[in-house]
Amino acid sequence: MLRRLRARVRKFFSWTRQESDLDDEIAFHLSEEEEERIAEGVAPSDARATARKDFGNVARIREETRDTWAWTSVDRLIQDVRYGLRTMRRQPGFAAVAIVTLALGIGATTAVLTVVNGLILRPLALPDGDRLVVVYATTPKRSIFRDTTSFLDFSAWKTGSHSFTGAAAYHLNPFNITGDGVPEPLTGLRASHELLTVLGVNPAIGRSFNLEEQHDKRTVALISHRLWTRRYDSDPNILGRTILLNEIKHVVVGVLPAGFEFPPFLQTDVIVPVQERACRSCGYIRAIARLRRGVTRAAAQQDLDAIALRREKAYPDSNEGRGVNVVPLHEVAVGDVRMPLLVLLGAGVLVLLIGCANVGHLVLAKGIARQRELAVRSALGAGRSRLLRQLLTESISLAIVAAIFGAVLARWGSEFLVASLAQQYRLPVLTFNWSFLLFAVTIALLSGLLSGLPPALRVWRQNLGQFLQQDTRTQSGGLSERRLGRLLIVGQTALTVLLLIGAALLLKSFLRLQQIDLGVNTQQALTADLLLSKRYADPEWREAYLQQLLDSIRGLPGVQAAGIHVDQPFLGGGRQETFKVQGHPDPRPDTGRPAAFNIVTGDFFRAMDLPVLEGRPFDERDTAGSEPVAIVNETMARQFWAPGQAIGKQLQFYYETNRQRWLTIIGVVRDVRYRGRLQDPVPQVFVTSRQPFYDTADPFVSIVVRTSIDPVSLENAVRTRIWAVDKDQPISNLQRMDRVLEESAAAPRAYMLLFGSFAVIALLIASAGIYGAGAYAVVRRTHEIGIRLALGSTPAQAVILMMRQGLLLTLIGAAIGVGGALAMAKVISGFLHGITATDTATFISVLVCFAGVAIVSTYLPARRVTAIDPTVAFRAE
Amino acid sequence: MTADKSRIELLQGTLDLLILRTLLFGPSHGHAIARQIRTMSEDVLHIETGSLYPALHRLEAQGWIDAEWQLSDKGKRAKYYRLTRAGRKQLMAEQSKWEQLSAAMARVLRPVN
Repeated sequence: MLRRLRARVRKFFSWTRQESDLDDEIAFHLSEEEEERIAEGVAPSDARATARKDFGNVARIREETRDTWAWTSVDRLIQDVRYGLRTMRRQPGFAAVAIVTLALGIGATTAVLTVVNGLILRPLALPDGDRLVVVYATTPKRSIFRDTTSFLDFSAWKTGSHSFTGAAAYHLNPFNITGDGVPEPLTGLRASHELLTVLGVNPAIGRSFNLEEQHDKRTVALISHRLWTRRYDSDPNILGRTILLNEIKHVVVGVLPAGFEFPPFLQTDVIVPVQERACRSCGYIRAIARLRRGVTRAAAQQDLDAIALRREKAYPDSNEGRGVNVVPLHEVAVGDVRMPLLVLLGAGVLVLLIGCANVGHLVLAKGIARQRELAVRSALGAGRSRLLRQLLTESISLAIVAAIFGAVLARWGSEFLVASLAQQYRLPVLTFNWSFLLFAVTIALLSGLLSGLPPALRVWRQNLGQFLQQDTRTQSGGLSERRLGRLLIVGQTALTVLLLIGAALLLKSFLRLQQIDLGVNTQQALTADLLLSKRYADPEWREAYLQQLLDSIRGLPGVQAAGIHVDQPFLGGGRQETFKVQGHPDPRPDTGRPAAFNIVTGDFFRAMDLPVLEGRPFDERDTAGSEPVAIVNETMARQFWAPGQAIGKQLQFYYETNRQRWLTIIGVVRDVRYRGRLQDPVPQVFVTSRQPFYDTADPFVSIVVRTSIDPVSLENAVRTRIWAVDKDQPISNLQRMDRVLEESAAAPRAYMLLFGSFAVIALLIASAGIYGAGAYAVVRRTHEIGIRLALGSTPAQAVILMMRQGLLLTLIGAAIGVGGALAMAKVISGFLHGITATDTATFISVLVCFAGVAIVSTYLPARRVTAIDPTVAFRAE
Repeated sequence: MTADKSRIELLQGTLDLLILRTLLFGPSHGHAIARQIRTMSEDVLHIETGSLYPALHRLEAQGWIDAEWQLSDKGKRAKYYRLTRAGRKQLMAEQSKWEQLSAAMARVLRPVN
């Protein structure tokens, strides 16, 4: 056995020697035979010929003998690959075009597939994660489907249902950790004691908290492995240690395992017991549950629907119109990013298909030379299946070489994609592993098969022998193969036009987005998010603290103005309130459009660069004792009053029934796209924190500093000034204001760039395909053109004749592509802002651009007919 | 090549047996093997070169024979095949199988005569 293996290995490395050995062996046989015949009395001249004749078909014998060497299919494959590589070396131009074409397609597809696999197909990093579901409250009438609920509802769901092995309540909670180092804002959860059990996770050290601790509101905490190693230097005595969370002492009872991930909150650093509020209308809880084995999501939904219905009847005041929504955790984690990725994947696959069609067409078009070679090989005894295998192996070898380059492209592409998406979505870190290579290889094999198929089909269908009887000139290829060739051209044109239209729409939408004026100058401003301590829960304390912070920052050289508000600009979300407007009918709760609501402190409007168009900004006149005042934006003013009439009018909070306080409008400010470029300005109401009547339970505030110098140079000074006022104040996202905007535009930019590069690649491939087809047609019809020219046709007419077919095919393809784009309008429109998916101008400009490329790539090869000399063309006969 | 009626088409697998048997006398090259089979069978069995060389290479790959380049008695380079130990074993097995087969064939065919 070992010896055989050694022999095989030796053979493998001495292939060429073996080939020549076989030739020698056969030559020796023939010379022996010849001598034998001479000895028998045959004339020497005949002896050689008869010996040779009796020996039989040398090529076939050699082939069959060679087959015996190739014992395993691997050997045989290698043999074909070697042949394929030899063919590639003979035609480096063709090979280069084919490899580049396939590499681009393989790279594009692999890149997106890697990301799709890493983010969407990847199972949750939790045991049996597919059985985890998040249960939301809903208010279908107001189209709210992922709402929080009360702890009492959660308890009812948990005890009343039979679908789950366990359920836990949780909600996000910001924590500010102080006392033992730099104050740090942390993301954490308040959760019921079942959370870790439901997730199927055990603490790495210590234990989770229990029901008693939850009931007793004991201040215990679980901390993340990350926090333990980073902040506490992996202290082995961490259990029992007291830490200050939001200035309250908590005892650490456990450390979460390293890499703990509770999507979509990827940075869970602290978990403390949830508060069980006995209030039916207090929605603050989300629920996570583990389905019993064999119970489907739909069954669990039905189960909970019944409970929700019972509670609706029992407590109409709080539960009327409230339903439940059971969503798999996986969907919650990746839901937003799924659709864009699938669309990109579709685009990648299109590029690959175009590449395959092109390479297939190239192989087909090269047919003349190849057909003869194949026919000769067939005549020499190569079986049909053998030729077929060979053709496929050739294109697969091409694809494998292409895969090497494709893999490099894919690696860059997927890294870029993840980096861009990560800014918009909360995504786990993508790790590259073997599956990445597996994708590249699988895709390469598939594309090799696909592109080898057209020529292989032809071999299968045709009697190759007949080609030997014809002469080269008349071999213009059979009708069916030309039809196949045309189909491939039409196909790639259609797919390319489809991609181009998609890319052009995305580009136009993106450019339009960038042109939208936000209404503020974001370059000369610094912003930071502050999480306020519980010590400032009292409105007066809070106001005093915020004023102190602003005074301290205002003293810095280079600072023009500083203000604080309760919003994080440009990142969506934000606080909304419904207002009653004096002299207007009451808003209906289910349809009334709420206005954005913001509480501002200090020189906010100047810091934001928001000019007060009418009236005045807030100032010292506005105090707790003075008349309550508000400032509205242009949109709000326009919606309710005639131009210039807003000042002096009054508003009231609609839902705060216990505070029948009318606010008098003292100013109108310019509109600002507070929710980023994607949203039109909404009606907005500003109030001042000097009048502390408002619900300021939200501990998050943002500070805005307008500077006359580069804002980045002030970052450290601002941080120091804030800590000078309160050394325990955590500061996050301290950055130039336009950085916030860049983050919010990262994903659209990535979609546009990737889709755009896919489309450009497709255009390059397709124009190469059209060019190749045209060049092939000229060679094929040289004789015919010669006759035409001899009969008096002008060269210009001949060029037009040659271009006609190519242009006709691209025209048909383009029409199909446009049809496809219209059919896909619904999918595409989800990614567009400010234009529709059937934007006529875009369609026309794409078609004009494509027509230009098509005309050039049909004209260049067609021009060659002018070089045809009729006499030479005839002599070629 | 005119077909001789006394020649017999070889049964599947018998060529291997014949080659191994021929090599029992000592190393030999392809041409000599074919000639030897022809002579030994008194001109009844003619080996097609088309099957001889694939068979030789197959047997070599199976490890039943070994090959070596040597100078022939006329001083030319020739590939000499030699029976290996595994090949000898294989020959024994095949030979006894063949004898059983031919005896059985003979028994079955005898009554008809």
